[in-house]
Amino acid sequence: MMGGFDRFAKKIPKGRMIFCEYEPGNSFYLIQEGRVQITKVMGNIEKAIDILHPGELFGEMAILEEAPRSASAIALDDVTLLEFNRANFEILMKGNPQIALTLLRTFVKRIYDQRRRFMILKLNDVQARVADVFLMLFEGMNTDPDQTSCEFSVTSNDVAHWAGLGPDQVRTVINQLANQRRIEVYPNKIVVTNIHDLQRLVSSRRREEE
Amino acid sequence: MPKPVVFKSSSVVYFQGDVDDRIYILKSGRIVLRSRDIETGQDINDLIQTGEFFGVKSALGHFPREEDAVVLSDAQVVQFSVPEFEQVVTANTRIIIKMLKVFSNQLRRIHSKVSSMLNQEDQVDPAEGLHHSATFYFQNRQYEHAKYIWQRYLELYPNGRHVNEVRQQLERAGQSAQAQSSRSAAQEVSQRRPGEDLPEIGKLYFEAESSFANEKFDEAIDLFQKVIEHDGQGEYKGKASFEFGRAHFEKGDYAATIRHFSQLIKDAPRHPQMAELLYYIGSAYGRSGSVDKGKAFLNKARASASDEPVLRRKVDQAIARLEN
Repeated sequence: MMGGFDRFAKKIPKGRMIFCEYEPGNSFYLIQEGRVQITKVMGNIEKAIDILHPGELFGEMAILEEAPRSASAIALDDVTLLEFNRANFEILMKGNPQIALTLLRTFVKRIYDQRRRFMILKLNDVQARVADVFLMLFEGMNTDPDQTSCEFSVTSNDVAHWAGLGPDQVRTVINQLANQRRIEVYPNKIVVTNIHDLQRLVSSRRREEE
Repeated sequence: MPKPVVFKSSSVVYFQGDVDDRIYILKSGRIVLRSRDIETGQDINDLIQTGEFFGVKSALGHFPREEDAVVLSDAQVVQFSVPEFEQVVTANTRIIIKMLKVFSNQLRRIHSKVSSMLNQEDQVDPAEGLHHSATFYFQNRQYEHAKYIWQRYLELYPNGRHVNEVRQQLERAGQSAQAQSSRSAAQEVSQRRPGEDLPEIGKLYFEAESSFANEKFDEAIDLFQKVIEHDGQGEYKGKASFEFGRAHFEKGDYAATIRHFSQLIKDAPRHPQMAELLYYIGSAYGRSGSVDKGKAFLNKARASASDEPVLRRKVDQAIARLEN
């Protein structure tokens, strides 16, 4: 299979760490068999970010030179991976156009996500920044654009991470938005009462700041 | 079929904000991509070279167009749908590699802009981060992870601040790992608990996956069912729905596997994992004695898995098993 690229395959036994957050990355992986869990240690807890299945890529940010890994990868089953690095990259891509295409799509999505994140961070007004995080999550949801009320399974810490703000600062903003009846806060979710209202808020602030 | 199209001077191929799935290649004439730099707000004018593709990112990602494509002098272009584009570039990987280089440069640029805007205080020094993670795993008795990370620390920072401590800890982790060796890796996986501040539904999903990994199928099925019922937003619903069927299959309940995956196909005739769904339905029929039905579904799976070599191999093996 894979046109004789088995020599680039790497087998990792169940439970083993593939790479660790903060380690410099110089290769990325395509899962051929088994599942891989992506996690981060935050303070005193381990946060599970995602579980990836065969056919999915991970560690592709290694293409950014010298960038430390942003999360750890751990084998959830006995896993077979195809390992890409600078030396074998072109050979593997030429022999596996489908993988090249997957990578192309992944990059397209990463560029878009980073640009979107940049747009959020560029806002000076903290309320608009928090509101824009909800808009970003809404855009990723593929729901009916005419829908008004919208439910998000996020905590204020998640929002703080996306907004690049401190957790306390975000809690204050979220309370303000709740007092203005723009959102409703529950222990495990936040409901935006009218997403278009937040869209108007963000676009008017964005215009003012330009 | 890719379609040749002529655009008159000063017409517009597409506007910023448009959503459509067409990709173009410039044959002749002059077309410029006009946008504003997201950082400085300055106007950017990128002249497209003859033979160059444009509109690729927004079409592939289904995102709104990021620029206006304005025709400066009468132009001939060829218009591709996404599948047509994919067909052309997979036959000529040189084009994809060139695009990957351009995109990875763009990614690198935007990534460093984002990093520099994030509060510098949030940026953990990688050496400290490694040591902290290793300590965390050590305290949580995941000695193999701790060993891996501390070894990497010594390789990467032979003169680091924590070298002496790390050497001692590494020895302790080694001893503890040996003492623990009766405990299997599987148990270790089951002991990992997802983070406290993950939304409830996410925790539930990871719990389900953990039960599945430990072959507690009934428990996993129960938990996946709960995720499907309660995940209004849908982030985990799709994954859970797929895993729900797989758990039935691994458990050996083939009738339930067939029922669930058939319903899934009915509900989503363009399911992104169609080939795999067909593979599981076919295998489930095969294993419950309906060889012909099994083969029919596996052949369908084979046809849909033309660009998934790993899955195709699995399908071929399943067909071979049925034929014997």
